[in-house]
Amino acid sequence: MQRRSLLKSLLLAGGGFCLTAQRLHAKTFLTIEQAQKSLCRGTTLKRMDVTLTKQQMKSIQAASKVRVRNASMNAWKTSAGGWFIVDQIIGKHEFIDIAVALSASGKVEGVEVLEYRESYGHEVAAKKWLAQFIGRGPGRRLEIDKDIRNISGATLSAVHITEGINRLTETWSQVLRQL
Amino acid sequence: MVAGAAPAVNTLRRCRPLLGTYVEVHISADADDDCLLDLCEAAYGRIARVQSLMSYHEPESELSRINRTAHLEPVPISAETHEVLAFALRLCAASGGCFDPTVAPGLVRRGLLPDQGGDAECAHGWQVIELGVDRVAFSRPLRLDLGGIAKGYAVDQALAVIGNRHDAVVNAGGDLAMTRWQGRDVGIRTPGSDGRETLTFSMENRCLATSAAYYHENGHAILRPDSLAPLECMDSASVFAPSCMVADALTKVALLADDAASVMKVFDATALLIGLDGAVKRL
Repeated sequence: MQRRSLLKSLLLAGGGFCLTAQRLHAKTFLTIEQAQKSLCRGTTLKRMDVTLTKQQMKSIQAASKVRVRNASMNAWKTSAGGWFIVDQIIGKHEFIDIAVALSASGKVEGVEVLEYRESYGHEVAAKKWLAQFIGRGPGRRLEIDKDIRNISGATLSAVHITEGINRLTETWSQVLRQL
Repeated sequence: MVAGAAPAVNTLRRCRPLLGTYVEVHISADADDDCLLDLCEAAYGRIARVQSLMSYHEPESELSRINRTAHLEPVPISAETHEVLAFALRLCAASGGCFDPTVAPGLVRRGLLPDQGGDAECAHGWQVIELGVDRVAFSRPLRLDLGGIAKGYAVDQALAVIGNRHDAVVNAGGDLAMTRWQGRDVGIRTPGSDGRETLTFSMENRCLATSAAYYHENGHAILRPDSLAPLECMDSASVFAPSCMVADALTKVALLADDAASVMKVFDATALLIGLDGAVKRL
């Protein structure tokens, strides 16, 4: 998968220099195929080419009160009339790839986190935060913590996921239901 | 040389948004993907059920129904809610009221919990809860909030459905439980680092939960039961215990009680306090 090879190249790029360490917790969970199997059992999926117009993006943003960053969608229609969507959420402390299954009536039937990459503050504010590490010169080392070490701490809020799901159900209501 | 073929261990890691946080389930077993997906599904099903019963945020949860009517007449409750409430009341007494699941009005007033109707004005005090065999009543209006204990209980329920014969970990935003915890390490986020840094410890029991003020922009979500003032201590408290419900609830006692160490002993638990400077104090 593209995002995995991106992470691998980041790891290689970061290995050569060793100054201040920027620890990045990155965890991968189900693949898109596993998520499709799990969330859309008993249906077949057809990849759909969905690109939102500027007007649609504005309108979805206004109705969901969540910023719409991408015009192009990773969407599949199920044989039951529902949808399977892979999307990216940018939170205060994290980048999260999620898969969402919607029923034929636009109801959320399941949500899976596919990948979780954690960072903090201003780094996340930059849209292409991950890309900035590629080919970066000496002065910063990127550590990707890909082991499955378990971490305890005060609860992380999943509020950005809720916002992302609201944006996708609004996208269904305004665009996908007619496709 | 190892005699015989090594068992084919398959691992599945899933993460879903539930209980207001990220719930990870890891299972390693000699089984195919479909079997592991089914086990995970069952685990998430249990967690979703606990959420539907005990969420303060959902007006239709069993908890919200209790809060609306238990002062008028006894309300029939599920076995799960009964189990959590029974332990909560036991801990209220054992901790001299340091653990108190009725401080919700203080959290509602500070915007940390939603107002389901008249919540902010409601008086608190766990002593008015009357728990029967299968129902609960309040001797005056009350707002029960199981937020400090139900997440741990949900983790216990999820791990129970997976079963001890598999190597499994359930981690609900930092409240975690493992079937094979002996010899395992765990990272605990240090307060004051915005969660960026972790300290590594050995697991001391099957379950671990942590509470702290970090990530709360509106101040501490743990209130002093006597005054409803937010806790000012910025330490984090991590508790190892045989059940995650116990660990979750005891983190509040570790932060609030003067004699926390003796309460830990009662419940076969151990606690670590981590300061803003990363200093670790064992209770």
